[in-house]
Amino acid sequence: MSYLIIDKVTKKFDGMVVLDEISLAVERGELVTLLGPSGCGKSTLLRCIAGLNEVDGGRILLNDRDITYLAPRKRGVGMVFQSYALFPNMTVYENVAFGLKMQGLKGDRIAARVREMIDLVGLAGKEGSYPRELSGGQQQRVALARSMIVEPDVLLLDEPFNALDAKIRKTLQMELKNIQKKSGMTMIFVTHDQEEALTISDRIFVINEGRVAQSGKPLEIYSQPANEFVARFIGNFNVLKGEEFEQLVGEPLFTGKSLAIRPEVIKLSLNGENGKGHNGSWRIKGKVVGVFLKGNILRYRVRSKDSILDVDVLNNSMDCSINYDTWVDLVIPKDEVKVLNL
Amino acid sequence: MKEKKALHRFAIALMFLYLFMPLIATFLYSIATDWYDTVLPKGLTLSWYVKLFQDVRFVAALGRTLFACSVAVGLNIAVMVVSLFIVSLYLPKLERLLQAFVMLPYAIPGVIGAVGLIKVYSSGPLAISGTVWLLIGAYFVVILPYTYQGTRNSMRTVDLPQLVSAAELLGATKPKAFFKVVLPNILPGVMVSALLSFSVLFGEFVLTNLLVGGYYETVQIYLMRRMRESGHLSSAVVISYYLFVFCLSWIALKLGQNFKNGNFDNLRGKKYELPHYR
Amino acid sequence: MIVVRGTWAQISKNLWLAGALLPLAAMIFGFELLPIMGMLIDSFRADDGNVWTLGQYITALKNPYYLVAIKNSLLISLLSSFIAIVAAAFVAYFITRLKPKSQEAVLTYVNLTANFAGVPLAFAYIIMLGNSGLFTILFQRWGLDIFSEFDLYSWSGLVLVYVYFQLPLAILLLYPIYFEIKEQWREAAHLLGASDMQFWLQVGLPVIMPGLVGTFSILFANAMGAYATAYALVGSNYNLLSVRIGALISGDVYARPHLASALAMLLALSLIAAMLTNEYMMRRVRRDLK
Repeated sequence: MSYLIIDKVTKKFDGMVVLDEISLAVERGELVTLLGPSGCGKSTLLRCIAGLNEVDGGRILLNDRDITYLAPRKRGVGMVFQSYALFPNMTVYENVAFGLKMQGLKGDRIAARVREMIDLVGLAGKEGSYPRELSGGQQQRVALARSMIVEPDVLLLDEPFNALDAKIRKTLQMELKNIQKKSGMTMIFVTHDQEEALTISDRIFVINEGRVAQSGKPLEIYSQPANEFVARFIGNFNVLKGEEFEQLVGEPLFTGKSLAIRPEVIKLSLNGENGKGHNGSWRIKGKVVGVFLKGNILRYRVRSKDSILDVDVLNNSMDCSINYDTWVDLVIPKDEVKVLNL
Repeated sequence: MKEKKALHRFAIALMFLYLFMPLIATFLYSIATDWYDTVLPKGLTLSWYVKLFQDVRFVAALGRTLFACSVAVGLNIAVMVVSLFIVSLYLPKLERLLQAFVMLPYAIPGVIGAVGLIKVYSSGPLAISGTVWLLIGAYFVVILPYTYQGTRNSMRTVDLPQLVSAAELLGATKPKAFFKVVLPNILPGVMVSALLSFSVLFGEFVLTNLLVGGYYETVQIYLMRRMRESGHLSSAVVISYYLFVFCLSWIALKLGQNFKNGNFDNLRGKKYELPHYR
Repeated sequence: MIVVRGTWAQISKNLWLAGALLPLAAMIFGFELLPIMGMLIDSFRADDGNVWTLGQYITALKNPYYLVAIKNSLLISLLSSFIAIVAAAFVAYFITRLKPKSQEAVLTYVNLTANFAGVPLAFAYIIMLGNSGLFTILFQRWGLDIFSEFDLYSWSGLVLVYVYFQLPLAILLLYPIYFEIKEQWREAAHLLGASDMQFWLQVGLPVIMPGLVGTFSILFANAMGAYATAYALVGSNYNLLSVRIGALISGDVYARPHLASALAMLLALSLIAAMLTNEYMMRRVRRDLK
């Protein structure tokens, strides 16, 4: 049996259904991410697991125990908040030691463990500082240490890096991944940032309107979106109606369906060879209507007939020949055109 | 969780019982015919109120109180509005100093003020001690914190400097801007603080007692005297006084709500004016 | 020419402004600053008004009559403030757990009763707990002699009445302080194994403690300066500092304005100390919670 099971959990707020009989399972030692847009219910689900919100229906099982109606203290669940929630009247050391104190352990017994944990999160030397003296990133590390030291069965992280600068975020994402691998702790991470999810997760659950839209490994989610919602939310897929695509390539294959094409699989070249393409791809012509620099990726927005396609190209050449109003050739490999379930 | 809510409500209900008990007791006393050794009044009547308002001495006291309070409040408001207008526009650096002086009376209890006032005004060129003018002067200072807060907040809410600039760009002089633009807009907020000040002065006792005492009997002094003589009449005074104060507060509340964002800070701020007289 | 005219315009404008501010300045000077200065000066003069001396202060602090007054005031102020703040700490917290609309309503009513002080309050308590008071008779009927023998006109009666007008003030002052406590601290503490009690002892109380102390000092100042309530209740029969000062300046036979000034200065000092404590505490609250 899986380590953590969410079984048809329902939650309503003021009559509005926020969690709609949602079900998912997490294995021990995994770092899974609940990914979805604001309001999709991911934070609510997290709070239900922690016991901070009551469920209106369904069950939550952790490590073979039914924790659905247990008080938060009794669940063996830890949580890291977006706002850090560090106790302002305590030093770093005291904050981290708090959980152990609550278990009744005395000073010297916990000293070693606390120091170890503070080292693990990279804050050696800051034991005597107060939260107000620390940066956001540092505070979040303390929060992490504080939650981990009591060795919860599962650690929940509610958009923990949302309030931090981009650079710090990336650093902490990596560190979190390392810490998780080292400690083997089961973690559930909540975010609306798909890049973050793709970076750190073992598995991703994409959540929409209180239900799981798709679950799987990051690569799967990214390259094989199961439905239109996931395709639009993850990455920068081109999503087209079947009829649209048929107009472009002249083959009536996809009537009544939705298609997703990743922008980086479309090959772009100047208006060179026209005529037939290889058997494995379609070739269409279009005009560049937008050029966007995204750092190491260049995105060209191309209009072909009535459709708009985004094409991502590695920004590794100084070639500026492709610009607005340039006519270009697009080559789309046939097996990269995903048919979506609705 | 639910049991806790019940406990909370019970505690709050208990608190209200405690807080309203004296008012209820006084009210019952004021409508009782006879009530000196029984648990509940012997009978109910409104005659005490009738007697009260027929009492020449009370009516005179009421008149004196209204006079002193109105003059003090009116004078104070007029002076405060003009002064704050000038300070905000021309002498913003003075504002800190002004604030310090104006908020001081809030911290000085009446007794201390009375000592100084009597010393200065019992003799010499300004021997107005014992007259209503000393009282009005003292009252003036007592309500400075309230009118200052009210006026300043109103001016902040309408963003006075910008308003005047806008008026000037449209051709008004500063005085014209004051009368035609500023005054109408800050009036509600200012009125609220005027009403509040009026309430405060109406209940003022210590300065009145020590500065003018028997020479100028206000409602509070009257009550003090009557307290030992007739309990029923006194309770009628108390209840009438509170009805009056409640009405003023209610009007002030309604005015405040109408004044857009109002000159009350939000719920978590200093919305509730702290009482002055104890 | 133009320069002269410009300067003259400047000067006349400044005169104008000064003139417009004159009334307020005059009132503040005449009825606030001058009296304070006068009182300050007077406190260092002997009874005849001519000799400079510290004698008044010495009398104030050595003469048993006045020493008792100071002690009584301190005792009653401290006790009533303490009782009020403990009760208010609970009540204000309970109020924060209500629905927002209810909170506003409750606070409005509390604010209303906050104005019930002074002579009317003393009178109401006389009706309830005086010698033939409503509750006194009730307790007699029920055989609860401990309560029926309660003397309203003693120090315990004063404390009781003082608590009454301190309580609403304490509630109104403490209420906003509870908003400094973030719900997420409590959630984090729970998840780390703390019970409600442990949370309050370890996190909640320490966080609001400066606010509590600050409020306590305001309550203390409030009680020390109270005159009307005490005067109406016990008159000169009970030795309180504020009433004593009043007697010294209004008594025909025993008027000793200079001693009154000294005593008033001592009273003012205790108030200043309380206010400064509050300022310091509030600054600590703001600093701790950024």
